[in-house]
Formats: sequence, C-alpha cells, structure tokens
Amino acid sequence: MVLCLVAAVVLGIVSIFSARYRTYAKEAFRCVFRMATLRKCDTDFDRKLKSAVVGRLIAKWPKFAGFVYRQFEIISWIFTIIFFVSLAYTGYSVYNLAVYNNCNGAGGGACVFVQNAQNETNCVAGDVPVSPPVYFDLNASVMFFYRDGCQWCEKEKLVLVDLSKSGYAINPMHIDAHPEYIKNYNIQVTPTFIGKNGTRLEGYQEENVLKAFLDANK
Amino acid sequence: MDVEKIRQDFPVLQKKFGGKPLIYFDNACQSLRPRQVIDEINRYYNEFPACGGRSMHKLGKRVTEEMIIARAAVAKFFGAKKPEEIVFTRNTTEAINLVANSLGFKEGDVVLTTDKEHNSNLIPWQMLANSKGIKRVITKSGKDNTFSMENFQKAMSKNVKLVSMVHTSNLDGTTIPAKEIIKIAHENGALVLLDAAQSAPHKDLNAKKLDVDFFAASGHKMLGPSGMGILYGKYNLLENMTPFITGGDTVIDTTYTSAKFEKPPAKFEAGLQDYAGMMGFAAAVQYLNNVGIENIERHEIELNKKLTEGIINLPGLSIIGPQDASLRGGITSFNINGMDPHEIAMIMDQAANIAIRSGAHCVHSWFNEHNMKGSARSSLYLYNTKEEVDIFIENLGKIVKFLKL
Ligand SMILES: Cc1ncc(COP(=O)(O)O)c(C=O)c1O
Repeated sequence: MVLCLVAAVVLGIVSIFSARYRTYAKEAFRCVFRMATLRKCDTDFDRKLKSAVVGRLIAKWPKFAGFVYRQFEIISWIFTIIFFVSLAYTGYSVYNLAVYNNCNGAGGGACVFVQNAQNETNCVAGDVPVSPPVYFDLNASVMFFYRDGCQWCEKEKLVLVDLSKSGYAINPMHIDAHPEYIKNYNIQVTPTFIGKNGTRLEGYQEENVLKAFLDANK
Repeated sequence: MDVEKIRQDFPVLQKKFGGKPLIYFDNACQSLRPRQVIDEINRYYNEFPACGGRSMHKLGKRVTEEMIIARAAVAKFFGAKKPEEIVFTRNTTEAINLVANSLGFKEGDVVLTTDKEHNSNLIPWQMLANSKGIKRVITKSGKDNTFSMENFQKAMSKNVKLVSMVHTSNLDGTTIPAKEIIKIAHENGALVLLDAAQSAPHKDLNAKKLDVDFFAASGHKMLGPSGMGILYGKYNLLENMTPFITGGDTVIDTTYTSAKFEKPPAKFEAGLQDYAGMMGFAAAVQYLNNVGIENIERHEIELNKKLTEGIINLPGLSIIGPQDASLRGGITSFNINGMDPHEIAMIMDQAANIAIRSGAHCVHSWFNEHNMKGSARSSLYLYNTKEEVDIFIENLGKIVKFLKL
C-alpha cells in the first residue's frame, strides 16, 4: 500500500515522457490520495507490484518469496522510508550545489573546482591584500590555495587566524589572481594545502589536523 | 492429432518471453492465431483492400466473392442450412444484442436464462425489461453448478418467448444439454438462443442437428481475428426481424421518408464490413475442421483431467463446478483459500509466463450471488501440452506451499 507513494513520484516523472506509464502513475496517485485521506488504497497497484516481485522470486527462492509475500507491507514501508530519506538528501544536495558549490553544504568539506577560472588572466587583485592577514607569510613552507567565494576557504581562514596566535603561518596562493596555479599544482578543490615534498591536504581541515600538518612540514 | 505440429503454426508459441516460452491458458478469453489465419488477413490487405458488395471494379468484385466464400465456409462449419443464415457481427455480444433488439419483444414477453450468464447475455435483457417491460425468469443451476432439467421445466411456460442460455459456461466450463432444452422450449412455443462463445471453439455445434433458432459466437475465441463474430439464425426468423443497426448496405432503396431493406444477412450488416475479418474467420474454421473438432475436445478434456488431478488435493484449493474434469471441457476455475485470484494470476505470469484469467470473468452476478470475489481460471485449447500442464501444476503447488498464509 505504501509503495504507491514511491511509485507515484517515480512514475509521475516517467509518465511525463511515456504514455505507457501514465495509467500506472494515475493508479499510484489515486492510491496516495486515498492513503492521505486515510482510506484503503482501492487500485490494484500495490497488489500488482507485490505479485510481480513475488512471481520473480518464487522460481529461484520460494521460501524468500513466501517471506516477501507475507511481510510485503512492512518491506514496502522500509522501502518507502529509504526512498524519501534519499529523496530528501538529493534535494538537500542540489540546494548545496547551488549555494555552496558542493554537495555537502556547510558541514562537510571542500569547494569543487569550477573550471572557468582557468582561462582568466591575472585579476586586478594582487597576490596579497592591502593589509595581509596575520597568518600570511610568503616564506612559509606550506602553501594554502584558496578562492574567493569559497565558503570552506573562509572557514579555513578562521582556523588559520587561530593557529597564527601560536606562530603558525602559510604561504598564500590566491587562485583567482593566479589561475595558472590550477594547472601547475593540479588543484582539484579549495582549500588545498601543499607542504614540503608535495604532500597535500585537500578540503577543509579541523584545527588539530591542520596543526599537525603544519608541524610536519616546518 | 499432432500437437507439436500444430504448435508450429502459432507464431507466438515460437517466441520467448524473458527466456521462457509462453504457456497460454487463457483461451476462454481469446485464442492464439495460427499463421494460416494471419496470412489470410494479410491477403485481403495485400491483394484487394477494397469495398465489398458495392463497387463494380475488379477489386470490389473480388472482395464480394471472397465474402461469399467466407460466409459459406462458416455456414458449413456450423451446419447452417444456407450461408444466408450467418450474420457477421463484431462478437458474441453484438450478436445477442441484435436478437434482443430485432426480435420484436413486447411487454410481458418472458426471456428465460440460467443463473450464470455472461454479462453479454444478461444486460441486454435487463435493458429490455426496463425499456419494453419484458419479464425475466432465471433457472437455478443444480448440483455442482450444473444444469438442472427439473428447475428448467418448472420455469418453462407458454409465456416464454425466448430461452437465451450460455451453452458452455465460461465460469466453470459446464455445458447445458442443449438438444433437450431446445426440444422442450419448442414444445412450449419458445425460441432458443445459445450463447455459444465457449462451445463453438471446442465442440461440435451444428445448427441443423440441434434445431436451434439462434446462436452467437466469437471468432477470436476460435483462432479467428479479434472483433469478428457471428449470429446464426434460422432464415425464416431472420427474414421477419427488423434490423438493429441500420444504414449503408442494409437497403435496396430509400426515399426521404422510407427504406426498403435487403434480405438477410445484408439487412443486419450495416456499414462497411470487416472483410479481412470474415476471411480470417473462414480460415480459422477451416483450420479447426482440418484438425477435427472432436479431436480438439478430446485433447482438452484429457489435459484438463491431468491438470485437475494435479491440483485438486492442494490444501485450500477449491474448484468451481463439478470436480470431474470431463464435465468441464478445457476449463478449470478455482480459488485458493486466503489468496486473491488476481495475485495467483499475476504470480503465475511472472514466475513461468503462465497466462490465466482471474476475476469475475464477466459473470459478476453469479459471484455476487455466491458472495465470492472471483476466481482464477485456466482454459485450454488444441495447442496446449502435457508438459505445459506439468509446469502449471508445479507452479501452483509452489504458490500454495510457500505463499499461502
Ligand atoms: C460465455 C460467454 N458469452 C459471451 C462472451 C462475450 O464474448 P465477446 O466479448 O466476444 O462478445 C464471452 C466472452 O468471454 C463468453 O465467455
């Protein structure tokens, strides 16, 4: 009965393109409507689905088919929940991609590199802002690659401010001003740290991780 | 009867669906079609796809000739006295409606039916009861859902104008004793219409021998093309009936206010006809004739006995009608306690490409009367085999063993 929820969504999309699925979609929607109004689903939809699944299983795994047949309602609830959870995640990821330029939002990692910067020549911005942040040191051994508009870089900078109080610094590598860095250093995401011997850290780093990396690359 | 050779004639039986062949046990709904019928339909479209009975050019004349040949072949198959006793219709349903609307029913006329009529032989009479005030009498079946001669004789009276009965029931496969019924009806001055949708494909149905007044049959249940049926009617009765659907090809002449009708069957075949369908129907009866209808009947009963023995002892399984398969032709209609018939059908289809019918089979009235939702139904035909029956038994057994709650 509940699987028609899933089916209504999937078939609703498919039926835009194919007349064959339109009647199935209608059945599924009708079923959802009846469920939403707390009535029993009166179309054959869930029964058809159940029979299709059980019919396929019974040839090879008759016992398992029997289990599915008897527990179909519960199994369909599980599927439905999984479906809607993953649907929610997909929606959330799409939102993050639009807003944060990555799929994981403000809780997770790095800014995926968008290629358009590659062809730009030098931006007006210089290597170092007019009043450089405290953690900038052109002689530092660890390079810090960052971009404008990358939320993760901004977050990382706060960590760097903190670390600078303990005397740590990085060599600023501003990608928007130097698009050639992308190629030269094979930068995939920002922020990226590159230390001695080319060891790297990609994505946003917590303070303790970054500190250990800076220590190791002194 | 060489079943393997017969099977070669049916293109769909050579196909695989998901790697497995088709096991077609839904013959009461529609039969499969042999190459010979398909070729005959194509012959019309390839060689003379024109109007019959009206145009004077070469193709038109050819179509008219082929129509005459086809009608004669069908008439001979059904033991009609002459080809003009065969009216081509779209199906059994239309043929019954033709009689209902053309026989000139008046208020108080009685139509007698059984208690397990297909909707096609039920609703037309309900409509007449509403519009013309005819009376309806239903005779109850007896033991095992078979025909009760006693109940029939009680219901019979001089007021009965028409006895309209299902010859072989699509619900349980039982056949009524048509010859005796017709005799008794005639003694009482009543006419008899047989719904022969399920008998014409499977047993000898001879108008002359039975002395039946009308019968209706569908080509698509007897190897013929879809949407092709016939009404057999005694010529003198057809002559005195007023046409039901009227229009082109039914008249000799018209004025603005009147029409002079053709003789039967033309006066009933209004509008451009399905010429390819008629030719295909003729090819189908030719095919059945070559195999021999008695051979087909014997083969089906033999298979149905095997099928019945294979499933009758499954726990919770019940067969509608007599348990003796020989009384049910090729049909076995059954239920499994606690399982929905549609589910049984869908699982059989998914598991082994076994096509059976499920539901009320258009006999809702009987199921409602018996407080049942429906049944699953297997119906066999000449191309079905023992091996297919074995697979059917095996899969139904699995369903009962592993799925029953
Ligand atoms: C006994 C009987 N009567 C009438 C019909 C109706 O036939 P058709 O749909 O070809 O008109 C059927 C078809 O299933 C039938 O089995």
